[in-house]
Amino acid sequence: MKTLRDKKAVAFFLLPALIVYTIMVMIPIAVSIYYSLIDWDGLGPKQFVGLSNFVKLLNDKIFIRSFTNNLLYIVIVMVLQLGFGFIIAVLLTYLVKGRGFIQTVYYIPSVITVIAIAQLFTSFYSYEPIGLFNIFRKFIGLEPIAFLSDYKAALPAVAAVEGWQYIGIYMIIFYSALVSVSPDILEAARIDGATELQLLFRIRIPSIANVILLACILSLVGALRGFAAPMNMTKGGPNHRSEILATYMYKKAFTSRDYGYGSSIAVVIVILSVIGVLLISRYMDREDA
Amino acid sequence: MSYKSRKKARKTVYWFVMIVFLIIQAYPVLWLLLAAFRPNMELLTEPFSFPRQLTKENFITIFTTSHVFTYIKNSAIISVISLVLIVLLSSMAAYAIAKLKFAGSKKIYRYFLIGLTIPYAVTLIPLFTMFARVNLINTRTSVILPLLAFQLPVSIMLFVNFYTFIPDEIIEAAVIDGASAYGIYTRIMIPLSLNTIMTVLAMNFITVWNDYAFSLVFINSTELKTISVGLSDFIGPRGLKDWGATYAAIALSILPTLVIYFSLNKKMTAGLTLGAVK
Repeated sequence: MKTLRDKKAVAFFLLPALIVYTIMVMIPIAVSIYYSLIDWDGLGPKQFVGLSNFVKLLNDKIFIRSFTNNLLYIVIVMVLQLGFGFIIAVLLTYLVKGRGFIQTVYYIPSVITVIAIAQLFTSFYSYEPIGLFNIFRKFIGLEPIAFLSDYKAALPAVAAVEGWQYIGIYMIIFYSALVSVSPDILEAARIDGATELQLLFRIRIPSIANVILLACILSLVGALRGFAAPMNMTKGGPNHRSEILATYMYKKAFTSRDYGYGSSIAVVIVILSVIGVLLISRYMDREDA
Repeated sequence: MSYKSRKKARKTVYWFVMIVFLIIQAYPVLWLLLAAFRPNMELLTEPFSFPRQLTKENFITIFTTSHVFTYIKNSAIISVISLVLIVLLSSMAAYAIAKLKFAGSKKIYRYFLIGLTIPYAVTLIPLFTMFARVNLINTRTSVILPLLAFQLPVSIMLFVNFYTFIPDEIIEAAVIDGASAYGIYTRIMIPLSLNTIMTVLAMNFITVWNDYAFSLVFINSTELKTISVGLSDFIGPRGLKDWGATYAAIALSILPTLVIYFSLNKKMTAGLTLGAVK
């Protein structure tokens, strides 16, 4: 098949994507690592400072807070997306009629811009005028709180928005995996007297383990990309209680114009996403085998 | 409890849970669409009561006093150009990876897939300095290029997944008939992948239209601002917000995505499951 080995054709088809992707995604990562080793305000001379930006990071209380906040942010987002997505998907498999309608409705939030959702939830969280969540708190006998300016509530409140928004995606992924489990096996187990819960844990979950892993990776990667919601709802406040790495990096680079320091935070984000890369390639290896 | 009543109780709980979930997912969006038509005063004093009256006031406000139309136009231009490039470049690359024969094609595919895991935020500082050097700051190109690059991995993955389903025999037959590598792409791969192209378009439209980070950092003039960033325009002095106008603008901004979603939702979710289920 000489035609398919045509080197010029391979270059013609592959290079445009390869070049754009390399310049816009991969090279910036390398440049970030370089910037993290210098002291630079974006205009003046660059000064090589070695690892001192990273030493500064370790002594920067706000950075440490952003880092732990980011971990918590990821956990909240993943628990909401995967937990609710899975429960709804399982429930949907028992539905005979109206499945398409419910799927369509559940997925709507996922297609709307994060900013719209963020603005919407800002008003739901509002203390004055009293927002939906505080009306609900009052209704069940709790004191209303100003979610977005409360030290304890701000981070979970912001993370919940992103978690909630993309539940529909995971619902659909889980659902289509669950219905691909052979109904004959399930029927046979039912005849043998297995309860629905046993079916779930002994047959359904093990047979879609691969998809569950993929969904975990997708959700982790999505959570790591989180930026717009906290940026728009709290700007990291109050007093950095909802600061995550991306918002802190943005402020350092584009508000304080400390490019070197901002880049060292970017490098930390890269390290976190390398964990994601490793997970994905392990998944791919399993699939190849 | 008898078997029958237990079954009934189970059914009740089932529907209760389903409906609660349905409300949690649907209520915010429905509330928003309704809020866009409610007077500002009412939204300030009792935003969650049942609406007493509906008005066009908010839409008149945003059309006469804001740049919402400009923002929507900008988002539309950026989206269309990005989508054309995304489909073109990713289908070409996927064709090379899946059907053409060259050393390292698997490695290249993996190299692209790494992009799936990279947060945009990491590239903001280097791209900003890079664009500043070549005078691209505050141009549409500065948003289109990174969007294109970041959407390539997922699009290439979808196309590669689909192309592996196209039997090699078809391609071999075409080669015997004298088709070139270019002819196979335009006459076989593209006509066969119209469905996949729709899926890629639908999925990417949502991401591209909703972009926030790149527009926020690379664009600073009102004439070029996109709708995501423009939505924060309605915060007045002292942080007071014109809520009615904000909701009207949000409703307008999500309209295109909702239209695309309702007309293409099967295609869109097909993309999700194509990647997930094997």
